[in-house]
Amino acid sequence: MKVQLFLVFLFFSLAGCTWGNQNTNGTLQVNFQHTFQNSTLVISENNQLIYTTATGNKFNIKTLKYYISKLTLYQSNGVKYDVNMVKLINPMEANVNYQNYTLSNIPEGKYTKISFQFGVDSARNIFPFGLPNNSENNSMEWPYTLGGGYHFMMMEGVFQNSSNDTVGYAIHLGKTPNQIYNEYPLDLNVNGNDQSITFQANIDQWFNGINQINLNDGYGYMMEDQQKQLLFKQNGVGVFTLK
Amino acid sequence: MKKYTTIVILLLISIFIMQACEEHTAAPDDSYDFQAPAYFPQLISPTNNPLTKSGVSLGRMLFYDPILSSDSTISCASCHNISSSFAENKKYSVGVAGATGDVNAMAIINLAWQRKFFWNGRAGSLEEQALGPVNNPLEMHETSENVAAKLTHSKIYAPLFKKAFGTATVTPEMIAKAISQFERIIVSNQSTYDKFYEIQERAFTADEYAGFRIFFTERGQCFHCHGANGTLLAHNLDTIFRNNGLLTDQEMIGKGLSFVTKKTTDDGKFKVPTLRNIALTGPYMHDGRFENLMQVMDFYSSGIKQNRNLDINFTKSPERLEQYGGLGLTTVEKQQLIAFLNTLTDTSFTHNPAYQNPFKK
Repeated sequence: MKVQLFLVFLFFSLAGCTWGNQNTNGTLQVNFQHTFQNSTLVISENNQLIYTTATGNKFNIKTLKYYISKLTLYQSNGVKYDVNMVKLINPMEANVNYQNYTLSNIPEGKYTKISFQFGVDSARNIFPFGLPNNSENNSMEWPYTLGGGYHFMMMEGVFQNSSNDTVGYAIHLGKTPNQIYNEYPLDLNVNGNDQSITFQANIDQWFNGINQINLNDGYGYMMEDQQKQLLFKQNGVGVFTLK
Repeated sequence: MKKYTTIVILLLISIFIMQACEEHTAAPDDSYDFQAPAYFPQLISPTNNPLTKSGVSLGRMLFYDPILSSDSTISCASCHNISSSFAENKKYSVGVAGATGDVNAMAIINLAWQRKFFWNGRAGSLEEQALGPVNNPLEMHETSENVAAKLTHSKIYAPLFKKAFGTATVTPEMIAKAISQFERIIVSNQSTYDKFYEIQERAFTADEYAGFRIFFTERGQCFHCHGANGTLLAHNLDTIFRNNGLLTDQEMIGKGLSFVTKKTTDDGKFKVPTLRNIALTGPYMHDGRFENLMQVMDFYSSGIKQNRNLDINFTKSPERLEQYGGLGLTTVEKQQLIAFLNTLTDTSFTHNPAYQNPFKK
């Protein structure tokens, strides 16, 4: 009889454990969609000049890779959810519309703001190997001789220059002062649910923000030219919009 | 009495469990302890071909044994000579019956971190690469099936395969796995450049440092293809095929990566080679056209051919390309770059007993 009573007690204890810990944490999949003048971005393999910048440069994009870091959610009461993440976004991979990062285990609550940083966060943007020493990150290294850390963005391709020749350009941004802080109002209720939001990266805005970029002004060698990087940093503020 | 019996039983059970745990956690005796410096990139090893002592040892024998060729005259080592960092100081290597290929033998260094093999990247793994030369009529002119039969009938090899792979009936796959295991342990990490990770600039002389700066800045921008900090060490870049202007539009049709992808946009794109031990691996380029590093410097300085797939790192400076035909390096800059490249030489690698010919007494 004693044993039967014990078993009944044990059952309810264990069942109670499960009921008591019902998970109210949620996940948020953050998508990054890439567009050029509101159409899905096309990454080129050949030298066909499929895009035109606001200043009239005919060009294409053959390489586009960039880091985002510190995706953070905020509640209006000051509570924030910060996973200290960093992610290389690579639209050159199969589908430009499905680059994403999933925030998991977000505590229950009403979140009213989201922020992230374009570029690698300061703590990791160091020499050597602030990020895991793997192939993906190695290909983004910013040489020690130029300050170390990582390229925040590599955008490369060809354009038609003022002599009507098709030549290369290489927009390389890096170095901690060129991080771009982005924040957006949000209406997100987390209560054990899985949700998603999408940022649209308007790639044309890199050339057409506060600063009008003309690729004829020498965008092949800008890793040692902070002035040129600054123009892009300033334009970068308008690149990402929350859909 | 009953109490004591229970205690004894419990003790016996716990001893049994402890022993079982010990057996479970101990490394198998044959596993190969592969060491690389902490500053090397993360290694992704194939799970279907783990390194074992017997596999590596067998692979080393196969690498040095001409049994792999149809007339038993050519081994892997015939064209991948350890004193040349497993390259060959010949424009083209000579195969069975005097046949010559049309590409320069590539060095074997830190391949464990690489993902594409051959100048045109036609092999996606070391295992896939290993039998390529065996079956190539210009190289060993053999078939891997025939080699497998020869090894199965060999009194020396059959038991070694049994030890390494559990069966003495040799298959081409087992041969490829063994050779790959040996190639995977061939690591260079004792060059002057490796010291840079400990003591930075102090690793270099003034000239070496000047060359280092040209290499890693936009003056030379060599790093855009050869990798920045970590990649130069073990070279695990994903995008490693570039068109460096060696060939004209006409010459490059179907050559390089396009041989594999069949895309005209890949014409003339070749695998960017490691620069480890570069001073030892000449002649240079996929066709061995340059005999020494000064000729390579001259090429990048003033010999670039403008073709439709020329890498943007050259075309992004059209004025320089027009004026100089390349980077327009001064003689001093070329010498400084070569001084830097010499810091990648690792003679402890070429003298490493673990890589030597096991048949040599």
